[in-house]
Amino acid sequence: MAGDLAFAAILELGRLLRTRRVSATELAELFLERLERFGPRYNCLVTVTPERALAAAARADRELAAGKIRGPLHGIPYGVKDLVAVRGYPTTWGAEPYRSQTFDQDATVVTRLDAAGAVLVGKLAMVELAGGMGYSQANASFTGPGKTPWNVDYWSGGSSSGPGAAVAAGLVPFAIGSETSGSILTPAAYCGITGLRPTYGLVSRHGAMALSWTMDKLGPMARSAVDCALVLAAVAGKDPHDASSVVRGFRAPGPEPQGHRRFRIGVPKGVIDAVQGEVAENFTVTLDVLRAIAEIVPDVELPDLPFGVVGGTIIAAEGVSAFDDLMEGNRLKDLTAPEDRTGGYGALAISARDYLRALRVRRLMGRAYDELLKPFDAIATPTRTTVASPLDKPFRDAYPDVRGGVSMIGSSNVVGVPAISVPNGFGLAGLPTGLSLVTRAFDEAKLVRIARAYQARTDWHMRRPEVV
Amino acid sequence: MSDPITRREFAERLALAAAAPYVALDVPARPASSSTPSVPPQQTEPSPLARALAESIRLRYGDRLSADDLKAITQGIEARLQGVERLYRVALTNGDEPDFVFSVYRGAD
Repeated sequence: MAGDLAFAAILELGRLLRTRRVSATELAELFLERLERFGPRYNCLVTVTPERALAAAARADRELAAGKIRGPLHGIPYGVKDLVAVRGYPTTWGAEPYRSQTFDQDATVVTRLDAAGAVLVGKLAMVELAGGMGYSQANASFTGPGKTPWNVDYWSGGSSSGPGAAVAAGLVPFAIGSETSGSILTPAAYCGITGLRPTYGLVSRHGAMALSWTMDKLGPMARSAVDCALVLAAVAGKDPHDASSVVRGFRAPGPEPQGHRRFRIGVPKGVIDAVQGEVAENFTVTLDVLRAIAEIVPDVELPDLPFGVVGGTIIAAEGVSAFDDLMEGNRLKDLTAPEDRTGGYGALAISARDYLRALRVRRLMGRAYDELLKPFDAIATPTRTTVASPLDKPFRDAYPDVRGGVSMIGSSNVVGVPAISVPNGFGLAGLPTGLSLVTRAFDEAKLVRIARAYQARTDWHMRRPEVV
Repeated sequence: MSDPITRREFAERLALAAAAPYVALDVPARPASSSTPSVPPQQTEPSPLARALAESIRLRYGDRLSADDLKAITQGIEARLQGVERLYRVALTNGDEPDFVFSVYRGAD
């Protein structure tokens, strides 16, 4: 029973709570115990929050007993990446210099999940400073390298390494991750879970560590697209504390109406050329599955614009400013990854003109990208061109023969549009692979509908790693 | 090198070179995006400009940086300078403003 509960969907847990077959306190205790027992195995845990969790669970139990139901997350445990501020507990940003840092208020995303009745059980590991200093191998956090529960000799992905591994191992039903350029989608793919990166501004960043003020996004990581949608609906919306947040909220899409039109999904030209064999095979099979619900349009040409340079320049310039205190206080030397200790200095040579040029070019990119996406409900690619990297090698040396493919992670982050990654099979060393779907700004509901339809036809998201 | 995507990828290797090691990316540089290099970027001799920019960093923070650190920083600057050139190949007009307060663009349906 406990094992089934640990891997149950949010809606199923909610049904069990409302029918009194399990209490919120029992769920909180179950996931607290699993976090403490298994978290160190995957280096995915920073801090458990038992006092807060048990108090919130007791409140949920009282309310549920009284018939007051806040919504689908009421009584559901969850974790947050440790760049999200939680009053009363350390918020470490995964970095030794901030190991004892605390904040006196909760991040907006936590406040909103509180209001939805969700129960915070732990703060989850991450790559130090969300990778802001340019790490090049997995051991880049004071908690050690994140390990995927599918094979602990391999990386969980980053920078939301803890949320990825914790959800995959059934240590939390869902988690909040963050993405500046790949940090939700990558661990989702490497850990075999579903990750939804919302449109920039849809979820308040207030109380979350800033790496890039104009590119950071918070989003849900969970077992399925349906679960991600339930979480996103609870946390999306305008926040007066975050000027970049937008009024436009998000509603989890209802059941598909009878006779709804088929989706239209674009596939970039060359998308599986020279990617890892199993990644290509799984993507090809995935497209066959999607053909049941969608017209697949091949050979889509992406805009020929310098997304990599623009993203790199913006993140580097904003990141080195965001961590001025580390630079001026000479505390970069205390970071875990050797390459992170000097990684910020080069960004000091970026001129104001170059940074502004990048911001100006990005505006044109947004228009070009919107034109690219407009004819489609989504564009599909493999989330990553390989499975997870082994822990004992630098990323660039992990799979030297894999040199091709098309990923939209970098470009779609630059322009701020949403994406989802869902598991779509397994490859080398028993490691999961992922399918990514990218769509127009604020069209998260389309991503959820397509991913939900895919997951209704497959069971990759139901697979469980052996956690003993 | 025979299709536009491949050409773009090739051109953006320089951008990825810029990402290693000092440009902040929260995914590993090599497989991060369509800008993934298909071969490791060549280690070229740093230009005088890269060396001058690195010297400005040495003047300010040299007491905490080793010779190897400065070498890596200089190589990183050189790589970025090569990538940044692409920014200036995109045609902009005087009216193309920066996204000081970034908002996601969505055109009419």
